[in-house]
Amino acid sequence: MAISTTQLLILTIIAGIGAFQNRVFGAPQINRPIVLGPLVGAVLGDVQMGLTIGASLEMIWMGVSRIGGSVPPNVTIGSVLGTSMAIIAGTNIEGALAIAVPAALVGSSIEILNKTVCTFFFHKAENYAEKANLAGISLMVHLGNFLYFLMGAVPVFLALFFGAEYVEGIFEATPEAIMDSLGVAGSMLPALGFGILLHTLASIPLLPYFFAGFLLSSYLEIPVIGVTLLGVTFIFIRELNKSNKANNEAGV
Amino acid sequence: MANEQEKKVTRKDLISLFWRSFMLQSAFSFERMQTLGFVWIVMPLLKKLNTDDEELIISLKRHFTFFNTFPFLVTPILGIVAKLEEQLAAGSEDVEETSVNSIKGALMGPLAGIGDSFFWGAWRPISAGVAIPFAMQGNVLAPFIFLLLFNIPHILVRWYGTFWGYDLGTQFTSKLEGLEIKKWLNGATVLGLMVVGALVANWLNITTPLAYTIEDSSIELQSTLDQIMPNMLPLAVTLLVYYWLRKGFSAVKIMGIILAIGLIGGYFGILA
Repeated sequence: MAISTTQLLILTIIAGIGAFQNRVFGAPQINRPIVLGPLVGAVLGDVQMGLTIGASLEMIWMGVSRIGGSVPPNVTIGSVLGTSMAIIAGTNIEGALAIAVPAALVGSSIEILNKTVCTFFFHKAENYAEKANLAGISLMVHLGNFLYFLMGAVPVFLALFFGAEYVEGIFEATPEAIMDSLGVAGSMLPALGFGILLHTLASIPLLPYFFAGFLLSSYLEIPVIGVTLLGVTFIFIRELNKSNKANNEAGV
Repeated sequence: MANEQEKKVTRKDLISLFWRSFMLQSAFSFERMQTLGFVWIVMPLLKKLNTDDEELIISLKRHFTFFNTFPFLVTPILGIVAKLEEQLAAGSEDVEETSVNSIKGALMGPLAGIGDSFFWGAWRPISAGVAIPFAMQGNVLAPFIFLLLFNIPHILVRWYGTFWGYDLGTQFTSKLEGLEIKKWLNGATVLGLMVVGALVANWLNITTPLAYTIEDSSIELQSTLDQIMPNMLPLAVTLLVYYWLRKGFSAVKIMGIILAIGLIGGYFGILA
């Protein structure tokens, strides 16, 4: 399908706001794939596809987070480009993954550039502070943020403006066997997200809880929400037991 | 005396700190991270407390010292800073100028640790884990479920943190220790791990189309695997990634390996 100018502009603004979320909106996670996927889908008229792609990308990038000043894959650019290109080209999830994963890596290099350039605004602001010029400090803050907006918006605009008409052809020219095996590779990628989370969450003594969740779902076919609620119940029972035990010991 | 009245931090000022706190990571730079955002947040309050330009410049420059913490948990620090700046402006003898930066420095590390492990490590995956099944079933409520779940504790912590910080002042540190944060973090981690386990079983699809023949009858390998343990391959791949990470492989390298296994396995019909 072709993309209209209005759609192109809306997607560009979505990417800009996505890049903004960590600067201006206090990181409420509106740039996560599970949010941007369906949003991009709605703009391009295929919410269902957007939901599926969003959920898949969410699992792949689940463990990704910015701790300290680190620069992880840029999920905003990856989600918007991956979802939109797949819908435009009419491919399945494998098309989205083939675009989203590399696009997010390129996006993170642009972010590194941004974080370097913003040092300039910082020093400017420091000079304004010497003169008690609060408006000047504000201006530096807003200029820095605007740079982040461009960081999300410009790459998405360029990629869609120049790439949208070719992406369908490229995917069509790719042999079906390759697209299929790309799909297999893509369905394995959430293991990376889960593995990273496991690595950040678990010290070895806590690993059994991971197995508990897995076994409950695998053998008893309990859905994720059921396991979550069981987990909450279990934690409360454990805490209750601990405080009972403490009380009993105190009584003796 | 009217002048002294104006130098008080009001509830309105604290609410303004709460709203401005959302912009903490503005103009984020590698060199100074959240420092400029912090200055921007406290700027109007400093202006109110220091009517004299020279005093204002001194207090502004104080906050240009490096600052970085977990974004949602900046509000207790803002509350404490409001209290200290108020006392400094009033010329109180209990507070020294250096105590503002030393309390900021002392709290930013521990709060960053708590926030990273609770919100990024546990709560976001849990929120996403609850929402993903809805998305996979094509329910448009999925993003709203995710955002609502994730942001309820986010906003509560920001809001109450501001007032706790101001009310407790420098005593906040000792109160924080009394809250048994470790116990709650452990609970959240346990829950996060269980959710990841359930996600692996439910939504990681790795199967094999291979079949083997015993006495002229063809048996699918996958059904044999399922009889032993359903979702055995997804579990194996996840544990493999975990093992590689523990061995110090980078995420990009592991991604490359997985893509290679998937492409080759898919092409030759070993994996599906």
